[in-house]
Amino acid sequence: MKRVVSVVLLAGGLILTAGAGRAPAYWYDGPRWSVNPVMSLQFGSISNGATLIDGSTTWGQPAEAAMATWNLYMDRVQFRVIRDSTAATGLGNGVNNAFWSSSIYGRSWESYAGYALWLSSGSAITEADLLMNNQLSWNSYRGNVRSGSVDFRRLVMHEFGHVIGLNHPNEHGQIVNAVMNSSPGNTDTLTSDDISAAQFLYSIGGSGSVSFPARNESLDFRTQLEAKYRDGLRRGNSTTYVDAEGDIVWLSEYFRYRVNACSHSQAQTRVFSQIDNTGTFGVCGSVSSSAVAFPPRNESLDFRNALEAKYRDDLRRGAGQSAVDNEGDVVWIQEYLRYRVNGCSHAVAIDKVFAQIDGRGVQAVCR
Amino acid sequence: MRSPLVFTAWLVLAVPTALAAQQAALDLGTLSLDQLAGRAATIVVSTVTSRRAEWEHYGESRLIITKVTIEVEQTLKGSAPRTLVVEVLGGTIGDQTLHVSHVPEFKVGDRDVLFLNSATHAASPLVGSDQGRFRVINEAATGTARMLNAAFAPLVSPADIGATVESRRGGLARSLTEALTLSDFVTLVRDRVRELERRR
Repeated sequence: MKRVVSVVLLAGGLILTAGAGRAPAYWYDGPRWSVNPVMSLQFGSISNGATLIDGSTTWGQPAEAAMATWNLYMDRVQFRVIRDSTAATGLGNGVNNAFWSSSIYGRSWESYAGYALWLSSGSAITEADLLMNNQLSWNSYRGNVRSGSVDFRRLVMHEFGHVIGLNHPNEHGQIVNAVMNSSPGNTDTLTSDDISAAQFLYSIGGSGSVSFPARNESLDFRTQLEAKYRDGLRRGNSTTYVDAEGDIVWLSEYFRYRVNACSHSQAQTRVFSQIDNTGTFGVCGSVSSSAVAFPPRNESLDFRNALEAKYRDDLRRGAGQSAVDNEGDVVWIQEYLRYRVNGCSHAVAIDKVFAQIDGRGVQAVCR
Repeated sequence: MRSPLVFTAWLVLAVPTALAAQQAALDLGTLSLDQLAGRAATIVVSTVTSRRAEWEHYGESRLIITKVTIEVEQTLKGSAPRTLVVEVLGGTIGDQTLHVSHVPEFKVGDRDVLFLNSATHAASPLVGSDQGRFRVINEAATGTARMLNAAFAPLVSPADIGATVESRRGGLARSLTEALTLSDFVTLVRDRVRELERRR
């Protein structure tokens, strides 16, 4: 019905110029959720107590993982789950049932592994059920499609895409790699096109109500912190794969997402997508600038360690040296940013952080 | 004037065999032309003349189905009356819409080649749920009827039917004038049906 596309129907003929490069090609029907879709998972246990190829011990695990993947890119609403629900199944009952079935409410399957049925009234989706074909041999795995077993996780990920209002881009003239194509094939997780679709429908957008300092100032702080550790604290070098600029840029981005209502996993996913150049993202919500909450330090350090692995394993960056260990890095950059977003100038923020490093305790913010 | 014969599709189509049902259920990928033709009980060239949404009750569920009336121009496989009514799950009544993934939506005036399945009471009347539909549109300059595939892209080659998105990436821009004509496609389908029947 609607889109964002590159199909051009001309009076004199039809020209298809679909999905070139990274142009978004997703397709949505129109209605969307205005409240969190709460899915009642009713897939039951795995027969014979078997473990699935990906290690899942219940069908609910890959289903929840699929919803969690969509949740990373949606701000206005989030999938919620009722595990092992015993609710009656039915369409129009106000319950979002997800279950195995031998028919689609009395109508026979036709070649498909799963169907999503969603009801809308006006522009709002009011209920969505997800029915998976119990006549098939299912498993849950990553990678290319395996002969003889259908991957439950990618199929429910596809159907949950319908639940949030998406449709098949390849059935609307788009040629794009997407889990939302009518047959996901070897695509086992969301692609940049799927992510753009979720963002388009449910992103808050914008850079957030909490403003961060200019990057040259943040980088100057990081340079001075290096000198402080090396010359003032006489710390020896430790190995790092993240250069100083990458360190301050991506930590700042992580904190920017966090203070603008993103969870740890949402923030990390968005930063890594930026690093991979697979998407641009808004923040997750608006917050009062008088109540800026920074994340707990264990989460910041977790992000910093993941960034280290990202640079080393994915980006294949060479090893470098820094006098600032990862923990000191995240703690003091977070403190610097905390002072900055609370009214302190660049120079004052540096003074306050260094006072803390020198053992003079947490300093007052500037407002 | 003779009244058109109106049947629901499930009344006039063949009874499915257990084997066919099993094969259909196990095939989750895209279907080739031979697979579509082999599994179809009836193949027609038709135009949608009307549609009507109705409530359907199943247990505690309240569903919307749409009864789509199609005028048959040609029958390429099986037999069909001049007018058929097929049912699709989904539709709109008032401000209530039931959307169903993988089920096609028909609009009045749509002209298609339809590969109809033999199921008695299915979510979709088509083989492969939404794959058994090929749109026919007229080239503006010449009026030549040409074919679009299930993705509403010009159907240039029968090899494109059932091809994955990945394998079609080379052709990012295609003109409708390159698409198969309806006449060519009808000949192609008839040939495949004859060949499949000969192989039995």
